[in-house]
Amino acid sequence: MSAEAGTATVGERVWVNRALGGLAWLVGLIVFFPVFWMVLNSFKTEADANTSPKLFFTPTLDEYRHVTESAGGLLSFSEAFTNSMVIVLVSVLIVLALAIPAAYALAVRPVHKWRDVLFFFISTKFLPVVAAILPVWILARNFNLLNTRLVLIILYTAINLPLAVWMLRSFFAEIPKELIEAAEIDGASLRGQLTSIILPMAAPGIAATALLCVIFAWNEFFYAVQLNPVDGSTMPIWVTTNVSTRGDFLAKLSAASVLACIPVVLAGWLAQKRMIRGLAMGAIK
Amino acid sequence: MTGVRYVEATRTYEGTDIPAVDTLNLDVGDGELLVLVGPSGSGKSTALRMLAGLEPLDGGAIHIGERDVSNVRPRDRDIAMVFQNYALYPQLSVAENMGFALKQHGVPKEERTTRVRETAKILDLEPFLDRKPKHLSGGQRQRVAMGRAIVRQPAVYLMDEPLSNLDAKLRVQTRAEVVELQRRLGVTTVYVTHDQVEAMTMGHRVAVLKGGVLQQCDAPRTLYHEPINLFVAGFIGSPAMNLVEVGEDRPLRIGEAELELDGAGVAAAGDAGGNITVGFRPEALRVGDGPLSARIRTVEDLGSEMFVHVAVDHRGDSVPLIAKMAPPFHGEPDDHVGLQIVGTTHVFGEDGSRITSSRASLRSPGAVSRS
Repeated sequence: MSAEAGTATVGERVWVNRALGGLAWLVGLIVFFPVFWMVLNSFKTEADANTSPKLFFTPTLDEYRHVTESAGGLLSFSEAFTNSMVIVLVSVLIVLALAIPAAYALAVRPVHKWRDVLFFFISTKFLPVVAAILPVWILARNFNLLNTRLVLIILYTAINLPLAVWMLRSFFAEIPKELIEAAEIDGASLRGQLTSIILPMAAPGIAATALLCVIFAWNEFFYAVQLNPVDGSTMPIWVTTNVSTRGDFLAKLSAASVLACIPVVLAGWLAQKRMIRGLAMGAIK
Repeated sequence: MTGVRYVEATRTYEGTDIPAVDTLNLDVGDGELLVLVGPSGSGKSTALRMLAGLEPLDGGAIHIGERDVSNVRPRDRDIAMVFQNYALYPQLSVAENMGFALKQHGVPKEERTTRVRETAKILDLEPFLDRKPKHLSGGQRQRVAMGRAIVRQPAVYLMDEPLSNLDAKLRVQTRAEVVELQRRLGVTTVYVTHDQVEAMTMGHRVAVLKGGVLQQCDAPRTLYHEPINLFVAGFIGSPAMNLVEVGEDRPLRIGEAELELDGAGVAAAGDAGGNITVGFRPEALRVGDGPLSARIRTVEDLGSEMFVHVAVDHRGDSVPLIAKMAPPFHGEPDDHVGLQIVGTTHVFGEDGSRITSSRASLRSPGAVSRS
C-alpha cells in the first residue's frame, strides 16, 4: 500500500512539474509577445501594420531604409548612433577605470569604514532622477555643456559608477585571499597582482558589470531628452523623432525601435556566457 | 646561514585586547624544520603569517638571518609559502604557476624554464606542466604548491597546514616526502599544523602554542617524555596521556591505590603543596592484575596494538583511563580488572607545571612498601 502511495506521489509531482513548466512558458510568451509584434511590424508596410492584426504578410525592408535614410526630425540615424556609441563606450571605460581601483580598495584591502563608503555610493541612487534634473540642467547650462556629448558622458559615468563599484566589489571579494597573498609573497607588485591575478580571475564579473553599464547608458532617456534635445542626442531620442502626428507611423516606429535595440541585444548575446558566469560567480566558487 | 628569530613578537587583532601571539621568543636554526603546533586559536598560523609579512607586528621583531624584517614587505623577505588550500593561480598552467615568482623577480625566460623543469622532475610533475590546476588531483595540486615554493630557492619555507586537505593515506605518504625533501634541500622551514602526530613525525623541534603563548619548544622525544606542563602533556601523544587529579592528600592516591614514586620524585612530590595532578602515558598502564580495580569500557584492536579503555572509581567519580597493550589481550567490556603503572609518572603542581617525573607503581593501601 505504501508503495502505491509512493507511486501516486511521484506521479502527482511529475504532473505538477509539467503544469508549472507550461505556466512558465505561457508567462514568458506573454511577456515576449509585444517585442515579437514590434519586430514583425518593422518588416511590414505602414498599410499592413495599421490594419487589423495580420500574422502573414510580404516582408519588406522599406521602413528600415526609410528611417535610416531620412532625417525624420532634426536628428539623423547615423548622428544618433555615433553619439550613443561614443557616449556609452567612453562613459563605460571611465566607469571601469574608476570602479576597479575603488572595488579593490573596498574588497581586497578594505579601507577604514569601508561599509560606510559602500553605503555612501549606493545612497546616491536614492534620489529620484526627476528631483536632480533642475540643478543638473542649471550646472550644465552654466558650464556650457547643454547639447554636448560630454554632459551625457559625465552623467552616465556618475549614474553607473555606484552600481559598478558594488558589483565589482562583490566579484573581487570572491577571489580567495590566499591567492593575493601568494602573489604578494611571490613578488608581485600591486600592479602585478591586479593584472596577473585579480583582473583575469574577475574577468567574467568585469564583463558582466561592463555590459550592465552599457545597457543602462544606451537605454537612458530622461537626461538625454532634457539636456541634449538638439545636439549630442542619443538613440532613444532618435526613436521618438520617428513618432509622427501625421498619419501612419507604426511600422516606421517599430523599425526604429528594433534598430535601437539591436546593439544591446547583440552585446548581451555575445557576452551571455561570461555574464551569466559573472552574475553567478558567488554561487559556483 | 639563515635562521629565523622571533624576538618578543606580538600581534593583537583589531577589536580585541587579547594578543593572538603574545611576546613570542623563538629561534629556528639554519636548515631546521620547526613545527608550530597547537589547537585552533593558539596563534600558530598568526605567528607564521607574521613571519611571512602578511600580519603586521604590534610589538617585538622578527629576524631572518641577520636582517630585521619586521617592516619589510613580504616580497622582499626571501621566503616562499605553501598555503593550506594551495592558492594556485587557477588561470595559469602548472609551469606558469611554478615560474610566477621567478618571472616577478625578473629571471630570464630560459633560466625560468630550466628551473621549473628541474623542480618538476623532483616532484614528478613533468607530465602535468601544461595543465591547469583544476585538472589536477588534490595530491598533485599539493605538489605544485610545494614546487612553486621550491623553485624559488628562498631562504625560508613557510608551510601552513599544507597536508590537511589530503586524505589520510596520502597525508602519511606526503608527510615523509616533505621531510625527505626538506632534509635534501636543507632550507630552514617553519611548518604549522594542528595535528600533533604530524608535528611529532616531521619536526626537528616542535613548538607548542596555546592562547598565543609558547608553552614548550623541544625535540619531539623531549616533548613526549618531559612535557613542561599539563597542556603539553595532554596535547602531545595519541591516545592522550592519562591525567588524574589527586587533590591535596598525601600520599598520592588513585582510587584506593597508593601511588609510590621512585627516588627523587618522592621528595619533590612530597614538598609540593596544593592540588596535584598525576599523568602517565597509556603504555605505562598495564591491565590485568594490579592494586587499582577498574572496569573495562571498551577494547580497540588495531592489530599491532590494543587500546583498552577502563573506568576507575576515584574520589567519588568514574574516571576514564586508557591503556595501550600489546596483543594478545583477552578482556571484554564490563570485565573487572586490576591496573598497575609500569612506567614513568609525571606529577603536575596546582599551576599546571611539571614538578617531577619518575618511575612509579601502585600498591594496595596498607601493603608493605617496596623500598
